[in-house]
Amino acid sequence: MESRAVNDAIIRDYLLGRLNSDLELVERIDEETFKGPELSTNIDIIEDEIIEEYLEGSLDSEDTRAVERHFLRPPERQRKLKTARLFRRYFEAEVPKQPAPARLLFRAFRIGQVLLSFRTCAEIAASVMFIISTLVLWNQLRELDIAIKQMNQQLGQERERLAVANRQLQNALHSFQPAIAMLNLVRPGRQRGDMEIPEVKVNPGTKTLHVELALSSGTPRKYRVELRHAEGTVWSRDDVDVTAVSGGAILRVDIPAEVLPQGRCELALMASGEEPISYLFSVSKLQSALDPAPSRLSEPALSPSY
Amino acid sequence: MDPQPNPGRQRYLTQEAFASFLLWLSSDPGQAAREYLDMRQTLIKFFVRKGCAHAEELTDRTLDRVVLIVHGEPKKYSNPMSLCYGVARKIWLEYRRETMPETFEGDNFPAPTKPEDDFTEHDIKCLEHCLDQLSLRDRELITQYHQFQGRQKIETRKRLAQIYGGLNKLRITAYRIRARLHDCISSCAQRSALN
Repeated sequence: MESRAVNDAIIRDYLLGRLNSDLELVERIDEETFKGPELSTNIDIIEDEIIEEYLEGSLDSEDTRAVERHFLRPPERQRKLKTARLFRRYFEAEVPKQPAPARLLFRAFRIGQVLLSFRTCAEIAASVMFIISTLVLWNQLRELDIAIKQMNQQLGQERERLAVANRQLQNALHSFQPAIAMLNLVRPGRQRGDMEIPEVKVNPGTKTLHVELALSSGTPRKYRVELRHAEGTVWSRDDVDVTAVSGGAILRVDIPAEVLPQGRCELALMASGEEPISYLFSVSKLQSALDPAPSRLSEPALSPSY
Repeated sequence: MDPQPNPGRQRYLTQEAFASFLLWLSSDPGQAAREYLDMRQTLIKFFVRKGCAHAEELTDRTLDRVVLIVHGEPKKYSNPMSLCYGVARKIWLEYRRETMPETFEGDNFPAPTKPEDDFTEHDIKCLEHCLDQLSLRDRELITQYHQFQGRQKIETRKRLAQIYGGLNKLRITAYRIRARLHDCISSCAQRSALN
């Protein structure tokens, strides 16, 4: 005789007393329950399910009759039925108290244990992803901010270094510039007519303007020399000697560079008993090309644009 | 296998026979006691599954006979469960012969009553007490497992099956929790009956 596999349907028939005609199968099931717990557990589960369906009223009339006439005969099963009815009443009574998900969520969060559904898992995963993304973005912005600050700091240091280097270069340049500027004035101003007046360029390193004036008279005498500007006399010296040369004389005078005004000047020679003699020239004071432009130093620092 | 006690030997259970039976089960008394109780539980289930109304009585009868058999010939049998099954089958057949004609056939067998509320407030308290003994996870599982009916029940169990690694695992887990609850509630009810 072919051996039938013991599945749930056969177990159900076995429990409802419908396999009595197949004694061999019944004995096989009986014997198996003594060998190990697997089949026995499965039989117990199906037994519970029969009781549950009986209480629900979902069994057909034939099964209901089998349950009442055979299955529920042992007092042990009647006790199980009573316990199952107790569960049913208790758990069903729990439902209206609160909506189940809210109640369960409350309990789960209260104790810290959650029976997670797939949807809940997905929602939590999405929330975690959002939080992580926000944190990553925030961290990137923070790093960018730090980088910009570091760049600003480096830029400031570079500017300071540049300023120092400029100053050093300026000093070096000054040291290479001639300390004395030369000006030769041959014709007095009155005799110049429309001719251009001589121009002397004064660098920041210039200390002295050495002026040599050609005089038509070779008579030795002492002169008072005055440097005049629009506002009046800015510098003077008395008792300046002349040096006689062939055809006249040369007057040499050193004027401190710091008194030299910018623009048109007049150098007047006065001697007793003579008309003053004026020589015109213009002073052009040069700025150092290496002086840093103030506007560049006051440029605003970089700032993040977000 | 001989499910009958040796006729030439002792016919009634004595303390000495029971002690030798326990020793035959295991030299460790604790282990022997566990095996004995396990054996008894298996036998009760065997008779209950037959639809027998006197499962405990037939179990005791079976065990008495097994003890006498082992006491008479301790070296003849090595597998206690196999011996139990053989004897239980014999006892069952004897019982059927004694009782079947009158009580197992016929349509006028009285169906058990189906009272809707045959439990008391104390039963509810016992259940609540026993639920409190469970871990939160087990409690939530068994609550959700039994909370609904019809379509809602099916959907809930499908969802729980996804969490608990499949429908079969879920059924086994729920069954084990239910079995613990059932034992706990029975003990609770017995204690209250004694008080």
